[in-house]
Amino acid sequence: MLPEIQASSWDRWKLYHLLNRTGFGVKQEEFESWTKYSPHEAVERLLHWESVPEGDVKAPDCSVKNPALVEELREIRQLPEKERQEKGRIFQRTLRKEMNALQLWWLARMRESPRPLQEKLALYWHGHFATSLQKVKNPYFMWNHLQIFRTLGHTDFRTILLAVSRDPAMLIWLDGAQSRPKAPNENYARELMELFTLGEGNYTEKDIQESARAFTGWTLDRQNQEARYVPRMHDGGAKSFMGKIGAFKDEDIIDILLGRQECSRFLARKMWRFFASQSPSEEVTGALANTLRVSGYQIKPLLRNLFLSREFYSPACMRNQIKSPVEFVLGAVRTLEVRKPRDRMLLRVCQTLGQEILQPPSVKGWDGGAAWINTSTLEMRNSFSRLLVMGGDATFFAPRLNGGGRKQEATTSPAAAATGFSPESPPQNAPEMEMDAMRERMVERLKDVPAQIFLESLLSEEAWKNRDMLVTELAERVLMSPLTGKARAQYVQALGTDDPVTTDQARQCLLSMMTDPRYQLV
Amino acid sequence: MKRRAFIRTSAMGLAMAWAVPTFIAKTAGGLHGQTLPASKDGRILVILQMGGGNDGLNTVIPHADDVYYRNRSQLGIGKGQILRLDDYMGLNPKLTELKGLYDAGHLAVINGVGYPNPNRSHFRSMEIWQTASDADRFEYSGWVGRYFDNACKGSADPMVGINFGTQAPQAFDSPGHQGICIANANRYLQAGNSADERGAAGFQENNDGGSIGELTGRAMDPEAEPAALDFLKKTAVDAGATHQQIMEIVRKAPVGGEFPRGALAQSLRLVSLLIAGGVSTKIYYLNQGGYDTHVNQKGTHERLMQEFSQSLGAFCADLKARGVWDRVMIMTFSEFGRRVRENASGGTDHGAAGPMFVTGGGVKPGLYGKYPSLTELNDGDLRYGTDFRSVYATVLDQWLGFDSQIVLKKRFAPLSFV
Repeated sequence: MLPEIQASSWDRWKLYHLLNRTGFGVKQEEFESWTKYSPHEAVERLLHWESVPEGDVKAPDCSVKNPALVEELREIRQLPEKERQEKGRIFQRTLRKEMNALQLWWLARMRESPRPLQEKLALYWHGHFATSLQKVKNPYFMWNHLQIFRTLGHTDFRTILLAVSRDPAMLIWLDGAQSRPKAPNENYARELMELFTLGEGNYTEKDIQESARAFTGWTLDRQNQEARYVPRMHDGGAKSFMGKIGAFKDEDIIDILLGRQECSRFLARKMWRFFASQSPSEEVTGALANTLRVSGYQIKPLLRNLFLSREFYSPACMRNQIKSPVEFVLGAVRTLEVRKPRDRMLLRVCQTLGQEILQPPSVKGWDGGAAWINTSTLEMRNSFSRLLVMGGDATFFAPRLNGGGRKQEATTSPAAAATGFSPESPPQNAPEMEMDAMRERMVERLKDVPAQIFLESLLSEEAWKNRDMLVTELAERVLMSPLTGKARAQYVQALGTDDPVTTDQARQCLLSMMTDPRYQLV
Repeated sequence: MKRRAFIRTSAMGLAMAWAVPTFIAKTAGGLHGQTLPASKDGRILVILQMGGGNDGLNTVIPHADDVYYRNRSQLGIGKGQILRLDDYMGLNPKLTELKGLYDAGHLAVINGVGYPNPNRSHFRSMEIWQTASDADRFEYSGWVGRYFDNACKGSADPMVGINFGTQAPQAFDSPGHQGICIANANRYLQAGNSADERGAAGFQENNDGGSIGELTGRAMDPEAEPAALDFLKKTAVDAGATHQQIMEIVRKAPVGGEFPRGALAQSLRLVSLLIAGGVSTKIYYLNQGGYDTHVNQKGTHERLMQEFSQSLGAFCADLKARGVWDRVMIMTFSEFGRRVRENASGGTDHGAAGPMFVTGGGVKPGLYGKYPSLTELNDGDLRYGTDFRSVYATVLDQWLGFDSQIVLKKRFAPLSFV
């Protein structure tokens, strides 16, 4: 157990820190409703989100099986070649739309959910088991995949690992569906150890080969759109894994992995890096790993200890993490109360900044931290801030012309064949032309975007008459930390001398805070 | 310290409200050249990464070896289609532009490149290639980064290295120089064509940010205490200083030759413009992903080979037309090859040694390195004959003219392709 924070040292800034790290920025009004809680009460409230009503949420179309789609695909496959290509293309477009709708759905949940930690934790697990639509190419499977994290993310690691191992999206993503006793596919077994449980260097090539055999038998039932265990496709022979010998199945392998000390340390470290700071000390890793083992790998005790630890509120953690693109974008939208958020654009912006949800760059997920920032992404972050505050031309966030589209087609088709959801590769130019047409429509919509933030409703009446107060109010919302005298003086001076302060000056002041490098930190 | 002149942004959306010290913005072009000559005549290296593990056996194909066909009953490429390099090996049929370069005496093919104790993890093997470390050692800094730090001492020019992508490769990691990133070449290419952009981007008289000394030269070791803010400040300075320079060059440059569609080709097109425009960049880094072909490899690999070859072909032609061909060397690599035997899913699994290509005006053409035996395998994988660091050493010593031992920390026997 990590030593806990003293309730007496609790203050507004620590509460901001807690809410930011367990969610996606915080609206002022919500924030005030949290100030009445002690740290323990606040953390319990966050952890037990089941008691908070989710609100009236309509699930996306792809959340239910669609036998008609399977049937349609079967029919397309029987058409003569030319027609098949034509219909196949239309079919793929339908799929793409559904996949996009799923991404938008999740983004909207992150933005609006009264249970922010549910979504934040799901985002953690999504990065942990990084699986991409790009290869899965099946919106219904991806919906189910996401539900593992949203509904089981706070249970225990064993439950999650087992669900993921038998999940259709994962069976496609890491080729388990193709694995056969005669030719076991090692992809899942390798990443399970390297990226999901132990970390590099804690297993051998032999361990990979043997455990790959244990995972055989789980395959895809394409007709019924589900994973299915087929006993005759399972290699029931004896396997020698990490010093143990037996006719292991998937569960046995997972139990052996969980029994390893490295596994608890690996998960503790990874979660600390996501929620707290880039570099957990040996003490932190050891203590949290112990918390995990003692509780049988339950997630809630780990998070409770993490969010209540003194270390979590130390200068090494507070406002010292670079915002992920999703945190950056949604944080701005939430804290500055953007009225009609354009989710489609927000999703594009996140993608441009290097984080497209449900489409991570590789099975390793997003590196995070300093890797989010380079000359290009930092400039684009500032452009986005400017767009929110001032409005203007947003076409730089439109999809690439002739860019990613082609490459994606090229890299996704083998997987498409695996899902049975891609009748034939479309002719080379068709997707590009479609992409270009789509881009052009998007460019039109992005040419003149109005300002999204209304300072009149964000600032108190007093603030317009008092520069010092205006800066204080803005800084609390935007930077969520106390302003030093020097910085405050700069911002006050920047507001000019007009009396009262004009909206334009206030906007400039807000934008200068948002383009201050400090704003990239959370 | 004035925070008045906040922002003047362009349609490109450059909003560097926070602060580039004015003298830096003004002298961005003058920052380089302290140790390295401005590269009007300097030599340039373009690194092209084939991410995911390219199937070397289906790239440079041993058409005279029956063992190849026995192991590749589905994926083997027919003798008649292969673009023959000699009696034993030939190029993938989609690599027509590369064959053209070979015939014209511009292409070096280095076979059997790898390293001792190969690692089959994408991430670890990529790390080994990018840090040029031994397989059993963990190195933080990248080999390109170490080159920058040592060869460009005293220069704060962020333009020494340009990476295409949203995230800098580990090869660029170093205490001193991280280079810059261009996420989307089209943003520049299209802006260059549009009249609206003229005179748009720009810095105002600006403010703040601390001294240049404070802002540069800090290590970004991800394991170290974060000091994230210093890093952000430095990046902000670099972004401001370089953006304008690139815009300027793109605006002035002649349009140049035709390039195929696709991110790789368009990025190469921008590289060509920048080289011809005389920026100080010594090393460009590009990635073509998608080579992780575990399943149904055939169509995917063909498309990737075609994109690779056509993009590279257009790039080389454009460099020649712009008169800079003799100053550029292009080197390709992948983190590993794939298993000799195809798998049951019509794909191939992670392997070990693979080929590298080197082309450019200064290349001595030919076939280098021994083609690995298809029967004497190491756990089902090809054994390497040439250490990839020998290739790096050759490029460093002979092409970039910098002592490779300083960068690679060891002496590796050079090859003779330069």
